[in-house]
Amino acid sequence: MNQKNCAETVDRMQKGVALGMLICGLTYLAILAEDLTPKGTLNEVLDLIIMVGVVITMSVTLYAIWPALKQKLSGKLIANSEPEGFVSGAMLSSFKNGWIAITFSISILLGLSSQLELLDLDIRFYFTSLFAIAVLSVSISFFCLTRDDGLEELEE
Amino acid sequence: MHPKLDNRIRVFRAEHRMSQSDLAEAIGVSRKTISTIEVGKFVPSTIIALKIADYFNVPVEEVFSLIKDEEETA
Repeated sequence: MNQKNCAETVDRMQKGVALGMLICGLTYLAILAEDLTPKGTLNEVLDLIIMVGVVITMSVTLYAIWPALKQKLSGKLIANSEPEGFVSGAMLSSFKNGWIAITFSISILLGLSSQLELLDLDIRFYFTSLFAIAVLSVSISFFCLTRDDGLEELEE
Repeated sequence: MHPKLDNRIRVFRAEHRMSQSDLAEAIGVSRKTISTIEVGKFVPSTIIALKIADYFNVPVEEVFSLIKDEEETA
């Protein structure tokens, strides 16, 4: 297997997965908005946005992992014994940041639990919020860490 | 540049007339990894550092070196 292709494929896969997570998080925000809006035109529009979001999330994620999946299925392990690269490191850091964000969010929810009970919101609302925070914090963190600052291009 | 780690990859690349992509392909990492190591944004693993030094056929200390604090050197 061409080493360059392998490393670049892993980078592309990580970026695609992060993009899928970002769209997934935005879709879950739309689900939250849908839960909070009364039945009507806006609710139907949000329902449509959610369906489109689900389709895009699945398409982007499958498109991102397909090259890696294909190589796994054909018996060639992608990134097997490959040294970690910058993008892989950024993905790990993003998961760490996501963990911090979700722990912080749960702490706030626990602290405000008695006040939140008065709102009488469905439990699904809180699970959806936490899931949205988890995927959005990881993806946004990833894109911040891997953004091009122009400095690298100058070195080429 | 990373506050603790200096590198001379760019110098070695220039001597060998190589682009970041050429070096990345030679040692099996992505171009982004090489470019971020060069500017000190990413500290490479020992394996990557050794692969780079091995490729240029020099000791790893010639490619990577620690930036000594003024207090340490005094």
